Amino acid sequence: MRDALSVEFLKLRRSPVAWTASLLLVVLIPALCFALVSVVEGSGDGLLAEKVRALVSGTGWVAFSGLLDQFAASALFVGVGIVVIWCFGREFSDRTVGSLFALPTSRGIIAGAKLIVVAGWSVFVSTMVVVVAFGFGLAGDLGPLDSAAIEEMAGVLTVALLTSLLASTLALPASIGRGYLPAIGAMVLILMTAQMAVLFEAGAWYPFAAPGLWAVSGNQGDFLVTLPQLASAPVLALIGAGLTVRWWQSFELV
Amino acid sequence: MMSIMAESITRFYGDDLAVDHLDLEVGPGEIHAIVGLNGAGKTTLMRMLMGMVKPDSGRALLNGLDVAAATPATWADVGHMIETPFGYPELTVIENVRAAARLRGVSAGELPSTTTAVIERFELGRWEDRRARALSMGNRQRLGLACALVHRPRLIILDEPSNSLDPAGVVLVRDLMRHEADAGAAVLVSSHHLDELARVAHRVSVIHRGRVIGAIDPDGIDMERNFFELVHGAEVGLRKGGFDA
Repeated sequence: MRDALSVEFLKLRRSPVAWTASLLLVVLIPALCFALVSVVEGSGDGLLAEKVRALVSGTGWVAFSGLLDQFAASALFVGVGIVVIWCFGREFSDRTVGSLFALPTSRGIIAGAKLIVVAGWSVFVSTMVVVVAFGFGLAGDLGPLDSAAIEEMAGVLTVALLTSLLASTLALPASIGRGYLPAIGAMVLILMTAQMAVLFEAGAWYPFAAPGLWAVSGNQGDFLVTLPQLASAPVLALIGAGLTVRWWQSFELV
Repeated sequence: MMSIMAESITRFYGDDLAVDHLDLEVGPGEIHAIVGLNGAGKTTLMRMLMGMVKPDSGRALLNGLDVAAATPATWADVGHMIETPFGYPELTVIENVRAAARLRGVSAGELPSTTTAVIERFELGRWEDRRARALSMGNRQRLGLACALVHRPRLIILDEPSNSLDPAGVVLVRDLMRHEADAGAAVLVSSHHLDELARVAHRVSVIHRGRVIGAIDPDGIDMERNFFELVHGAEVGLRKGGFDA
Protein backbone atom coordinates (compact mmCIF):
# COMPACT_ATOMS: atom_id res chain seq x y z
CA MET A 1 0.00 0.00 0.00
CA ARG A 2 2.88 2.38 0.79
CA ASP A 3 4.14 2.27 -2.79
CA ALA A 4 0.69 2.93 -4.25
CA LEU A 5 0.12 5.79 -1.78
CA SER A 6 3.44 7.33 -2.70
CA VAL A 7 2.67 7.16 -6.45
CA GLU A 8 -0.87 8.51 -6.08
CA PHE A 9 0.33 11.33 -3.80
CA LEU A 10 2.95 12.30 -6.39
CA LYS A 11 0.32 12.33 -9.16
CA LEU A 12 -2.00 14.52 -7.09
CA ARG A 13 0.83 16.90 -6.17
CA ARG A 14 1.68 17.38 -9.83
CA SER A 15 -1.95 17.69 -10.93
CA PRO A 16 -3.02 21.10 -12.29
CA VAL A 17 -6.62 20.03 -11.61
CA ALA A 18 -5.94 19.53 -7.88
CA TRP A 19 -3.99 22.79 -7.57
CA THR A 20 -6.69 24.80 -9.35
CA ALA A 21 -9.46 23.22 -7.26
CA SER A 22 -7.48 23.82 -4.03
CA LEU A 23 -6.93 27.50 -4.77
CA LEU A 24 -10.49 28.12 -5.90
CA LEU A 25 -12.04 26.37 -2.90
CA VAL A 26 -9.69 27.70 -0.21
CA VAL A 27 -9.70 31.32 -1.41
CA LEU A 28 -12.99 31.80 -3.24
CA ILE A 29 -15.44 30.31 -0.73
CA PRO A 30 -14.30 32.40 2.27
CA ALA A 31 -13.70 35.52 0.13
CA LEU A 32 -17.11 35.38 -1.53
CA CYS A 33 -18.93 34.70 1.74
CA PHE A 34 -17.05 37.50 3.48
CA ALA A 35 -17.89 39.91 0.64
CA LEU A 36 -21.57 39.01 0.92
CA VAL A 37 -21.57 39.38 4.71
CA SER A 38 -19.92 42.78 4.29
CA VAL A 39 -22.83 43.80 2.07
CA VAL A 40 -25.31 42.75 4.78
CA GLU A 41 -23.30 44.37 7.58
CA GLY A 42 -23.17 47.62 5.65
CA SER A 43 -26.01 50.07 5.52
CA GLY A 44 -26.72 49.45 1.85
CA ASP A 45 -30.29 48.68 0.83
CA GLY A 46 -29.64 47.84 -2.79
CA LEU A 47 -30.94 44.77 -4.60
CA LEU A 48 -27.85 42.68 -3.72
CA ALA A 49 -28.12 43.56 -0.02
CA GLU A 50 -31.80 42.60 -0.03
CA LYS A 51 -31.08 39.27 -1.70
CA VAL A 52 -28.19 38.41 0.65
CA ARG A 53 -30.27 39.34 3.73
CA ALA A 54 -32.77 36.72 2.61
CA LEU A 55 -29.98 34.12 2.70
CA VAL A 56 -28.56 34.85 6.14
CA SER A 57 -29.77 35.07 9.68
CA GLY A 58 -28.06 37.02 12.42
CA THR A 59 -25.03 39.20 12.06
CA GLY A 60 -21.25 38.92 12.34
CA TRP A 61 -19.83 35.41 12.75
CA VAL A 62 -23.31 33.85 12.71
CA ALA A 63 -24.16 35.38 9.34
CA PHE A 64 -20.69 34.55 7.99
CA SER A 65 -20.79 30.91 9.07
CA GLY A 66 -24.36 30.59 7.76
CA LEU A 67 -23.20 31.65 4.31
CA LEU A 68 -20.12 29.44 4.55
CA ASP A 69 -22.37 26.46 5.34
CA GLN A 70 -24.44 27.06 2.22
CA PHE A 71 -21.48 27.61 -0.07
CA ALA A 72 -19.36 24.80 1.39
CA ALA A 73 -22.15 22.26 0.98
CA SER A 74 -22.34 22.80 -2.78
CA ALA A 75 -18.91 24.18 -3.79
CA LEU A 76 -16.94 21.48 -1.99
CA PHE A 77 -19.08 18.73 -3.48
CA VAL A 78 -18.33 20.08 -6.96
CA GLY A 79 -14.66 20.97 -6.28
CA VAL A 80 -13.70 17.78 -4.47
CA GLY A 81 -15.89 15.81 -6.87
CA ILE A 82 -13.96 17.12 -9.87
CA VAL A 83 -10.66 16.04 -8.30
CA VAL A 84 -12.09 12.60 -7.47
CA ILE A 85 -13.39 12.25 -11.03
CA TRP A 86 -10.01 13.33 -12.44
CA CYS A 87 -8.13 10.91 -10.17
CA PHE A 88 -10.10 7.86 -11.34
CA GLY A 89 -11.35 8.89 -14.78
CA ARG A 90 -7.93 10.02 -16.01
CA GLU A 91 -6.61 6.44 -16.03
CA PHE A 92 -9.16 5.68 -18.73
CA SER A 93 -9.09 9.00 -20.58
CA ASP A 94 -5.27 9.08 -20.65
CA ARG A 95 -5.25 5.34 -21.48
CA THR A 96 -2.84 4.59 -18.62
CA VAL A 97 -5.12 1.97 -17.09
CA GLY A 98 -3.61 -0.93 -19.08
CA SER A 99 -0.29 -0.34 -17.34
CA LEU A 100 -1.96 -0.90 -13.97
CA PHE A 101 -2.61 -4.57 -14.78
CA ALA A 102 -0.21 -7.45 -14.16
CA LEU A 103 1.60 -5.67 -11.33
CA PRO A 104 2.58 -6.89 -7.86
CA THR A 105 0.57 -3.89 -6.61
CA SER A 106 -3.04 -4.92 -7.21
CA ARG A 107 -5.59 -2.62 -8.81
CA GLY A 108 -7.69 -2.79 -5.63
CA ILE A 109 -4.77 -1.40 -3.65
CA ILE A 110 -4.21 1.31 -6.26
CA ALA A 111 -7.90 2.32 -6.06
CA GLY A 112 -7.70 2.30 -2.24
CA ALA A 113 -4.60 4.50 -2.39
CA LYS A 114 -6.39 6.93 -4.71
CA LEU A 115 -9.30 7.19 -2.25
CA ILE A 116 -7.02 7.70 0.75
CA VAL A 117 -4.92 10.36 -1.00
CA VAL A 118 -7.97 12.28 -2.22
CA ALA A 119 -9.58 11.97 1.22
CA GLY A 120 -6.42 13.37 2.84
CA TRP A 121 -6.36 16.22 0.34
CA SER A 122 -10.04 17.02 0.89
CA VAL A 123 -9.59 17.10 4.69
CA PHE A 124 -6.70 19.55 4.17
CA VAL A 125 -8.74 21.72 1.79
CA SER A 126 -11.80 21.66 4.09
CA THR A 127 -9.67 22.69 7.05
CA MET A 128 -7.98 25.42 5.04
CA VAL A 129 -11.37 26.82 3.97
CA VAL A 130 -12.22 27.27 7.66
CA VAL A 131 -8.75 28.62 8.55
CA VAL A 132 -8.88 31.19 5.73
CA ALA A 133 -12.45 32.06 6.73
CA PHE A 134 -11.23 32.73 10.28
CA GLY A 135 -8.59 35.01 8.77
CA PHE A 136 -11.19 36.97 6.80
CA GLY A 137 -13.49 37.17 9.83
CA LEU A 138 -10.76 38.43 12.17
CA ALA A 139 -9.35 40.89 9.66
CA GLY A 140 -12.83 42.14 8.81
CA ASP A 141 -13.81 42.61 12.46
CA LEU A 142 -16.93 40.46 12.51
CA GLY A 143 -17.13 40.71 16.28
CA PRO A 144 -15.52 38.86 19.18
CA LEU A 145 -14.33 35.36 18.51
CA ASP A 146 -16.29 33.85 21.38
CA SER A 147 -17.29 30.23 21.96
CA ALA A 148 -20.52 30.72 19.97
CA ALA A 149 -18.54 31.89 16.92
CA ILE A 150 -16.11 28.98 17.25
CA GLU A 151 -19.04 26.57 17.50
CA GLU A 152 -20.53 28.02 14.31
CA MET A 153 -17.24 27.61 12.49
CA ALA A 154 -16.88 24.04 13.78
CA GLY A 155 -20.24 23.40 12.13
CA VAL A 156 -18.83 24.72 8.84
CA LEU A 157 -15.89 22.31 9.15
CA THR A 158 -18.27 19.41 9.83
CA VAL A 159 -20.33 20.22 6.72
CA ALA A 160 -17.17 20.63 4.64
CA LEU A 161 -15.80 17.25 5.76
CA LEU A 162 -19.10 15.41 5.27
CA THR A 163 -19.55 16.99 1.84
CA SER A 164 -16.01 15.99 0.85
CA LEU A 165 -16.70 12.42 1.93
CA LEU A 166 -19.86 12.36 -0.17
CA ALA A 167 -17.93 13.63 -3.20
CA SER A 168 -15.68 10.55 -2.97
CA THR A 169 -18.63 8.42 -4.12
CA LEU A 170 -18.09 9.90 -7.61
CA ALA A 171 -15.09 7.56 -7.91
CA LEU A 172 -17.51 4.76 -8.73
CA PRO A 173 -19.23 6.35 -11.78
CA ALA A 174 -15.83 7.63 -12.99
CA SER A 175 -14.56 4.02 -12.85
CA ILE A 176 -17.57 2.16 -14.20
CA GLY A 177 -18.13 4.90 -16.81
CA ARG A 178 -14.40 4.69 -17.68
CA GLY A 179 -13.83 8.41 -17.95
CA TYR A 180 -14.88 11.88 -16.90
CA LEU A 181 -18.22 12.47 -18.56
CA PRO A 182 -20.37 9.75 -16.93
CA ALA A 183 -19.17 10.92 -13.51
CA ILE A 184 -19.83 14.58 -14.33
CA GLY A 185 -23.34 13.48 -15.32
CA ALA A 186 -23.70 11.64 -11.99
CA MET A 187 -22.54 14.75 -10.13
CA VAL A 188 -25.16 16.92 -11.84
CA LEU A 189 -27.81 14.30 -11.15
CA ILE A 190 -26.88 14.16 -7.46
CA LEU A 191 -27.03 17.95 -7.14
CA MET A 192 -30.43 18.04 -8.83
CA THR A 193 -31.89 15.22 -6.77
CA ALA A 194 -30.56 16.81 -3.56
CA GLN A 195 -32.41 20.01 -4.42
CA MET A 196 -35.57 18.04 -5.18
CA ALA A 197 -35.29 16.10 -1.91
CA VAL A 198 -35.08 19.35 0.07
CA LEU A 199 -37.94 20.84 -1.92
CA PHE A 200 -40.17 17.88 -1.06
CA GLU A 201 -39.03 17.97 2.58
CA ALA A 202 -37.26 14.64 2.32
CA GLY A 203 -33.75 16.10 2.41
CA ALA A 204 -32.95 14.73 5.85
CA TRP A 205 -33.42 11.24 4.49
CA TYR A 206 -31.23 11.84 1.45
CA PRO A 207 -27.54 11.44 2.37
CA PHE A 208 -26.38 13.94 -0.27
CA ALA A 209 -28.68 16.64 1.14
CA ALA A 210 -28.55 15.88 4.87
CA PRO A 211 -25.27 17.64 5.83
CA GLY A 212 -26.17 20.86 4.01
CA LEU A 213 -29.67 20.82 5.45
CA TRP A 214 -28.34 20.19 8.95
CA ALA A 215 -26.00 23.15 8.70
CA VAL A 216 -28.29 25.60 6.98
CA SER A 217 -31.28 24.95 9.26
CA GLY A 218 -29.21 25.15 12.40
CA ASN A 219 -30.88 21.83 13.09
CA GLN A 220 -34.06 23.56 14.24
CA GLY A 221 -37.64 23.97 13.08
CA ASP A 222 -39.07 21.87 10.29
CA PHE A 223 -35.69 20.68 9.04
CA LEU A 224 -34.51 18.61 11.97
CA VAL A 225 -31.77 16.21 10.87
CA THR A 226 -31.17 13.36 13.28
CA LEU A 227 -27.73 11.91 13.98
CA PRO A 228 -28.45 8.66 12.08
CA GLN A 229 -29.58 10.72 9.09
CA LEU A 230 -26.39 12.76 9.27
CA ALA A 231 -24.34 9.60 9.70
CA SER A 232 -25.77 8.29 6.43
CA ALA A 233 -23.24 10.52 4.61
CA PRO A 234 -20.07 8.79 5.89
CA VAL A 235 -21.80 5.41 5.64
CA LEU A 236 -22.60 6.06 1.99
CA ALA A 237 -19.01 7.21 1.40
CA LEU A 238 -17.71 3.99 2.94
CA ILE A 239 -20.05 1.86 0.82
CA GLY A 240 -18.96 3.82 -2.26
CA ALA A 241 -15.28 3.30 -1.39
CA GLY A 242 -15.81 -0.42 -0.86
CA LEU A 243 -17.63 -0.83 -4.17
CA THR A 244 -14.99 1.21 -6.01
CA VAL A 245 -12.11 -0.89 -4.65
CA ARG A 246 -14.00 -4.08 -5.45
CA TRP A 247 -14.74 -2.92 -8.99
CA TRP A 248 -11.08 -2.02 -9.59
CA GLN A 249 -9.97 -5.38 -8.27
CA SER A 250 -12.03 -7.31 -10.78
CA PHE A 251 -12.68 -5.20 -13.89
CA GLU A 252 -11.30 -6.04 -17.30
CA LEU A 253 -10.32 -3.88 -20.23
CA VAL A 254 -12.81 -3.51 -23.05
CA MET B 1 12.73 -18.88 -14.93
CA MET B 2 9.33 -18.01 -16.29
CA SER B 3 7.09 -19.25 -19.05
CA ILE B 4 3.68 -18.37 -20.40
CA MET B 5 1.16 -20.40 -22.33
CA ALA B 6 -2.19 -19.90 -24.04
CA GLU B 7 -4.22 -23.10 -23.99
CA SER B 8 -7.06 -23.19 -26.53
CA ILE B 9 -7.87 -19.63 -25.53
CA THR B 10 -10.95 -17.94 -26.99
CA ARG B 11 -12.45 -14.50 -26.68
CA PHE B 12 -15.46 -12.85 -28.30
CA TYR B 13 -16.22 -9.13 -28.43
CA GLY B 14 -19.97 -9.25 -28.93
CA ASP B 15 -20.45 -11.43 -32.00
CA ASP B 16 -16.90 -10.86 -33.18
CA LEU B 17 -14.55 -13.75 -32.53
CA ALA B 18 -11.27 -12.00 -31.66
CA VAL B 19 -9.25 -15.04 -30.56
CA ASP B 20 -10.28 -18.54 -31.57
CA HIS B 21 -9.00 -21.57 -29.63
CA LEU B 22 -5.44 -20.31 -29.87
CA ASP B 23 -2.47 -22.23 -28.48
CA LEU B 24 0.89 -20.57 -27.92
CA GLU B 25 3.84 -20.98 -25.62
CA VAL B 26 6.92 -18.97 -24.68
CA GLY B 27 9.65 -20.62 -22.66
CA PRO B 28 12.62 -19.25 -20.71
CA GLY B 29 15.35 -17.78 -22.88
CA GLU B 30 13.07 -17.68 -25.92
CA ILE B 31 11.91 -14.78 -28.07
CA HIS B 32 8.59 -15.76 -29.62
CA ALA B 33 7.26 -13.24 -32.13
CA ILE B 34 3.69 -13.03 -33.37
CA VAL B 35 2.77 -11.35 -36.61
CA GLY B 36 -0.55 -10.72 -38.24
CA LEU B 37 -2.67 -8.17 -40.03
CA ASN B 38 -4.47 -5.45 -38.09
CA GLY B 39 -7.30 -6.99 -36.06
CA ALA B 40 -5.80 -10.50 -36.24
CA GLY B 41 -6.08 -10.92 -32.46
CA LYS B 42 -2.49 -10.25 -31.33
CA THR B 43 -3.32 -7.56 -28.79
CA THR B 44 -6.34 -9.44 -27.42
CA LEU B 45 -4.13 -12.50 -26.97
CA MET B 46 -1.54 -10.45 -25.07
CA ARG B 47 -4.25 -8.84 -22.97
CA MET B 48 -5.59 -12.26 -21.98
CA LEU B 49 -2.11 -13.48 -21.12
CA MET B 50 -1.71 -10.48 -18.79
CA GLY B 51 -5.13 -10.88 -17.15
CA MET B 52 -6.47 -7.65 -18.65
CA VAL B 53 -9.23 -9.50 -20.46
CA LYS B 54 -10.80 -12.75 -19.32
CA PRO B 55 -10.99 -15.57 -21.87
CA ASP B 56 -14.45 -16.91 -22.74
CA SER B 57 -12.89 -20.36 -22.84
CA GLY B 58 -9.41 -21.86 -22.57
CA ARG B 59 -6.71 -20.77 -20.18
CA ALA B 60 -3.78 -18.40 -19.91
CA LEU B 61 -1.09 -20.02 -17.82
CA LEU B 62 1.80 -18.30 -16.10
CA ASN B 63 4.42 -20.80 -14.97
CA GLY B 64 1.74 -23.47 -15.37
CA LEU B 65 -0.81 -21.70 -13.16
CA ASP B 66 -3.87 -19.77 -14.26
CA VAL B 67 -3.11 -16.08 -14.74
CA ALA B 68 -6.18 -15.19 -12.65
CA ALA B 69 -4.50 -16.86 -9.66
CA ALA B 70 -1.08 -15.25 -10.13
CA THR B 71 0.41 -13.86 -6.92
CA PRO B 72 2.11 -10.46 -6.47
CA ALA B 73 5.45 -12.30 -6.35
CA THR B 74 4.75 -13.76 -9.80
CA TRP B 75 3.72 -10.40 -11.25
CA ALA B 76 6.92 -8.87 -9.86
CA ASP B 77 8.78 -10.87 -12.51
CA VAL B 78 6.57 -9.72 -15.39
CA GLY B 79 7.00 -6.64 -17.55
CA HIS B 80 4.63 -5.62 -20.31
CA MET B 81 3.84 -2.81 -22.66
CA ILE B 82 0.62 -3.44 -24.51
CA GLU B 83 -0.77 -0.65 -26.71
CA THR B 84 -0.32 2.60 -24.73
CA PRO B 85 3.08 3.09 -23.06
CA PHE B 86 3.12 3.88 -19.33
CA GLY B 87 3.63 7.55 -18.67
CA TYR B 88 1.64 10.17 -16.77
CA PRO B 89 1.87 13.46 -18.68
CA GLU B 90 2.17 15.64 -15.56
CA LEU B 91 5.16 13.68 -14.21
CA THR B 92 8.74 14.03 -15.40
CA VAL B 93 10.59 11.14 -17.02
CA ILE B 94 12.43 10.26 -13.81
CA GLU B 95 9.25 10.54 -11.73
CA ASN B 96 7.42 8.23 -14.12
CA VAL B 97 10.20 5.65 -13.98
CA ARG B 98 10.30 5.83 -10.18
CA ALA B 99 6.52 5.47 -10.01
CA ALA B 100 6.63 2.45 -12.33
CA ALA B 101 9.43 0.90 -10.27
CA ARG B 102 7.53 1.33 -7.01
CA LEU B 103 4.37 -0.24 -8.43
CA ARG B 104 6.52 -3.13 -9.68
CA GLY B 105 7.90 -3.85 -6.24
CA VAL B 106 11.37 -2.32 -6.48
CA SER B 107 12.47 -1.60 -2.89
CA ALA B 108 13.14 1.95 -1.72
CA GLY B 109 16.83 1.12 -1.28
CA GLU B 110 17.22 -0.08 -4.85
CA LEU B 111 15.12 2.70 -6.36
CA PRO B 112 17.87 5.25 -7.18
CA SER B 113 20.27 2.76 -8.82
CA THR B 114 17.47 0.94 -10.68
CA THR B 115 16.02 4.19 -12.00
CA THR B 116 19.37 5.54 -13.12
CA ALA B 117 20.27 2.27 -14.83
CA VAL B 118 17.09 2.05 -16.90
CA ILE B 119 17.21 5.74 -17.86
CA GLU B 120 20.76 5.25 -19.10
CA ARG B 121 19.80 2.03 -20.85
CA PHE B 122 17.07 3.78 -22.84
CA GLU B 123 19.17 6.91 -23.36
CA LEU B 124 16.63 9.15 -21.66
CA GLY B 125 19.10 11.02 -19.43
CA ARG B 126 18.87 14.21 -21.47
CA TRP B 127 15.13 14.38 -20.85
CA GLU B 128 14.92 12.96 -17.31
CA ASP B 129 13.56 16.21 -15.83
CA ARG B 130 11.18 16.88 -18.70
CA ARG B 131 7.47 16.22 -18.22
CA ALA B 132 6.18 13.28 -20.21
CA ARG B 133 3.63 15.48 -21.99
CA ALA B 134 6.49 17.42 -23.57
CA LEU B 135 8.26 14.35 -24.99
CA SER B 136 8.24 13.33 -28.63
CA MET B 137 6.28 10.19 -29.56
CA GLY B 138 9.49 8.23 -29.87
CA ASN B 139 10.74 9.27 -26.45
CA ARG B 140 7.34 8.51 -24.91
CA GLN B 141 7.73 5.02 -26.35
CA ARG B 142 11.21 4.77 -24.84
CA LEU B 143 9.80 5.95 -21.52
CA GLY B 144 7.04 3.32 -21.71
CA LEU B 145 9.62 0.61 -22.37
CA ALA B 146 11.83 1.88 -19.54
CA CYS B 147 8.86 1.76 -17.15
CA ALA B 148 7.85 -1.73 -18.30
CA LEU B 149 11.34 -3.13 -17.88
CA VAL B 150 12.70 -1.10 -14.94
CA HIS B 151 12.54 -4.10 -12.58
CA ARG B 152 14.39 -6.48 -14.96
CA PRO B 153 11.44 -8.89 -15.43
CA ARG B 154 11.88 -12.54 -16.36
CA LEU B 155 8.80 -12.54 -18.59
CA ILE B 156 8.48 -9.70 -21.10
CA ILE B 157 5.44 -9.02 -23.27
CA LEU B 158 5.76 -6.20 -25.79
CA ASP B 159 3.09 -5.14 -28.28
CA GLU B 160 4.63 -3.30 -31.23
CA PRO B 161 7.61 -2.05 -29.16
CA SER B 162 9.29 -0.27 -32.07
CA ASN B 163 6.29 1.96 -32.82
CA SER B 164 7.40 5.58 -33.26
CA LEU B 165 11.04 4.72 -32.52
CA ASP B 166 13.89 6.07 -34.61
CA PRO B 167 16.36 3.57 -36.13
CA ALA B 168 18.62 3.86 -33.06
CA GLY B 169 15.64 3.08 -30.83
CA VAL B 170 14.71 0.05 -32.93
CA VAL B 171 18.24 -1.32 -32.58
CA LEU B 172 18.17 -0.59 -28.86
CA VAL B 173 14.93 -2.56 -28.36
CA ARG B 174 16.22 -5.42 -30.46
CA ASP B 175 19.47 -5.60 -28.46
CA LEU B 176 17.54 -5.40 -25.24
CA MET B 177 15.25 -8.31 -26.13
CA ARG B 178 18.22 -10.41 -27.21
CA HIS B 179 20.14 -9.53 -24.04
CA GLU B 180 17.23 -10.36 -21.73
CA ALA B 181 16.49 -13.64 -23.53
CA ASP B 182 20.16 -14.60 -23.31
CA ALA B 183 19.87 -13.98 -19.57
CA GLY B 184 16.91 -16.39 -19.42
CA ALA B 185 13.87 -14.16 -19.87
CA ALA B 186 10.88 -15.35 -21.87
CA VAL B 187 9.92 -12.72 -24.45
CA LEU B 188 6.68 -12.47 -26.42
CA VAL B 189 6.68 -9.66 -28.96
CA SER B 190 4.36 -8.55 -31.73
CA SER B 191 5.33 -6.46 -34.69
CA HIS B 192 4.37 -5.61 -38.25
CA HIS B 193 8.02 -5.44 -39.27
CA LEU B 194 9.00 -8.90 -40.43
CA ASP B 195 12.61 -8.02 -41.09
CA GLU B 196 12.94 -6.68 -37.56
CA LEU B 197 11.55 -9.90 -36.12
CA ALA B 198 13.81 -12.01 -38.31
CA ARG B 199 16.84 -10.45 -36.66
CA VAL B 200 15.82 -11.27 -33.13
CA ALA B 201 13.08 -13.94 -32.82
CA HIS B 202 13.67 -17.65 -32.26
CA ARG B 203 10.13 -18.43 -33.42
CA VAL B 204 7.67 -16.44 -35.50
CA SER B 205 3.99 -17.45 -35.37
CA VAL B 206 1.47 -16.04 -37.81
CA ILE B 207 -1.91 -15.12 -36.35
CA HIS B 208 -4.93 -14.61 -38.56
CA ARG B 209 -8.57 -14.25 -37.54
CA GLY B 210 -7.69 -15.14 -33.97
CA ARG B 211 -5.82 -18.37 -34.72
CA VAL B 212 -2.23 -19.41 -35.22
CA ILE B 213 -2.22 -20.41 -38.88
CA GLY B 214 1.44 -21.31 -39.16
CA ALA B 215 5.01 -20.33 -38.50
CA ILE B 216 7.67 -18.53 -40.46
CA ASP B 217 11.31 -19.50 -40.30
CA PRO B 218 13.10 -16.39 -39.02
CA ASP B 219 16.27 -17.53 -40.78
CA GLY B 220 14.47 -18.17 -44.05
CA ILE B 221 14.40 -15.95 -47.08
CA ASP B 222 11.47 -13.82 -48.21
CA MET B 223 9.51 -13.84 -44.96
CA GLU B 224 7.01 -11.42 -46.41
CA ARG B 225 6.09 -13.83 -49.19
CA ASN B 226 5.75 -16.71 -46.68
CA PHE B 227 3.54 -14.56 -44.48
CA PHE B 228 1.12 -13.65 -47.25
CA GLU B 229 1.03 -17.24 -48.52
CA LEU B 230 -0.05 -18.38 -45.06
CA VAL B 231 -2.69 -15.64 -44.78
CA HIS B 232 -3.97 -16.28 -48.28
CA GLY B 233 -4.10 -20.03 -47.64
CA ALA B 234 -6.09 -19.46 -44.46
CA GLU B 235 -8.56 -17.23 -46.27
CA VAL B 236 -9.02 -19.80 -49.04
CA GLY B 237 -9.52 -22.51 -46.42
CA LEU B 238 -12.07 -20.38 -44.65
CA ARG B 239 -14.07 -19.83 -47.85
CA LYS B 240 -14.07 -23.60 -48.41
CA GLY B 241 -15.70 -24.15 -45.07
CA GLY B 242 -13.40 -23.47 -42.11
CA PHE B 243 -9.88 -23.36 -40.83
CA ASP B 244 -7.76 -26.45 -41.03
CA ALA B 245 -4.70 -24.89 -39.46
